[in-house]
Amino acid sequence: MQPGQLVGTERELIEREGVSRAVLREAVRLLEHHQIARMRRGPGGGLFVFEPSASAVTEMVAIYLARRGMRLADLAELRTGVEVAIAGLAASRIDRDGAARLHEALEREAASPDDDQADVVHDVHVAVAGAAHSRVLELIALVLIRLSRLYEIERLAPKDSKHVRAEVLRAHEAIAAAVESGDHELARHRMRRHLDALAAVMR
Amino acid sequence: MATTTPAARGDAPARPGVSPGSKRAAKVADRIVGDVMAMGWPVGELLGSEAELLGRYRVSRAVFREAVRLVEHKQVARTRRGPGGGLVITEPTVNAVIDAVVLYLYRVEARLDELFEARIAVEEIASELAPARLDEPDLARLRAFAEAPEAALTPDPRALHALLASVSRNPALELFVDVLNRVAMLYSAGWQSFGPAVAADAAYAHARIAEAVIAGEPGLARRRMRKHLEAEADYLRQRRSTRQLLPDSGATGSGPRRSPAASPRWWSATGCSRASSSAPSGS
Repeated sequence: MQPGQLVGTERELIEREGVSRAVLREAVRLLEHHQIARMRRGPGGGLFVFEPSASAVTEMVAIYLARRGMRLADLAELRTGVEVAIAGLAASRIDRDGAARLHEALEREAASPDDDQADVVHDVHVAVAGAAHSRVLELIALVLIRLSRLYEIERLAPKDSKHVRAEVLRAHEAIAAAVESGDHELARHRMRRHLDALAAVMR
Repeated sequence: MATTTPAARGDAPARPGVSPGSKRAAKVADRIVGDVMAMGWPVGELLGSEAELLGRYRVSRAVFREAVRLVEHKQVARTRRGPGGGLVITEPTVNAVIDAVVLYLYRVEARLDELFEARIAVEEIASELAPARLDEPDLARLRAFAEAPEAALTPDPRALHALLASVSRNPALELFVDVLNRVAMLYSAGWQSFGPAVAADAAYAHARIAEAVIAGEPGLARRRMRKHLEAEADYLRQRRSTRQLLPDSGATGSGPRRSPAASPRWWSATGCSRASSSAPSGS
């Protein structure tokens, strides 16, 4: 079944499955818990198939790892390895849509005032991850980016941040250019240099 | 160690098409997570009764209950009913996290190629880090793989991969190696169905990787891991098992979607515990 499709109304499902209302509601709770389907109440309501949501999964994994006491060094080494692999794939596979998203992300980052930059500073990384057309790697990258966001906000003092942010924007533009030109070795190299430099600043 | 989670910043990416009520609920959920982190995550402690929390977060009962559903999903807290009840802080379990990732990849019909691109990336990192981080108990375990490959293959063929990930002492790397190993099982009928020749090849590859790590050669360990995983991907691609549960690279986006709920085998194939992932019941 496709996302958005109606599985059935509560009454239909009780009849079809031959269960009590209480049992059906418990089953629906499980489906809702896993974001597989959701019961909408009221007229025109019923059980609807949910769109698979990367952000819900990302959130859950990020919170679990934060709870496990993941260190900044753990995050940095994994993020570098994963995003370097992604940069190489993105350079080999980038298409018109991917390039457009990369440009939008760079524009947002360049245009945002310093105080808001934390909200958009990872957009280029998210766009590169999307351009790699490798959804498992993308999911891992999204988890690591989500975790990075927290640590960076905590550790960048306002007085260094202006300088660092200008440098970050230049690095992002260079990575995007390498990805767009299809040079996978250069894209990998620039991503590694950028993340190593970032890790050194955060330490 | 940071004192807040990403969610605590209120910057959860909004999903398109969500109602304003859902957005408010997501914001409240983020505040609950932030409060739990700020308290030092005392598992089992009561965050507050529903009445208290409605006052604290200043939202309607409907929005609050939606937020509770979200924090239950994130395994941060759950509802305890009855007298003295309310929102109780819980410990996130790894199995529920693994279930969520596996289920997501199943639903988006992740391809074999996508899975192995990710496996190769994370296991290359683990193999490269391992030589410098090895302690003596790790060394003893690795020697068992290097010296007696056939014996070391049983009972769990994922053991070498799990060992290298644990040597890294990086919880995220361990988690991703574990999850992706389990997901790889979905592309076949399981290791039990592989012939003795395949098992021997894998055992040999594991032994060579273990040797490279013991010899302190990160680059060699990394290359051998990549070669081993590429061979595994090739094998799975050619095999095209009729029992495989996820589409291979040629079958993306077409054909009828199977419902995970109708395939209980899917859960057992990954070694996930169903009970561990179930929502807390109201009783």
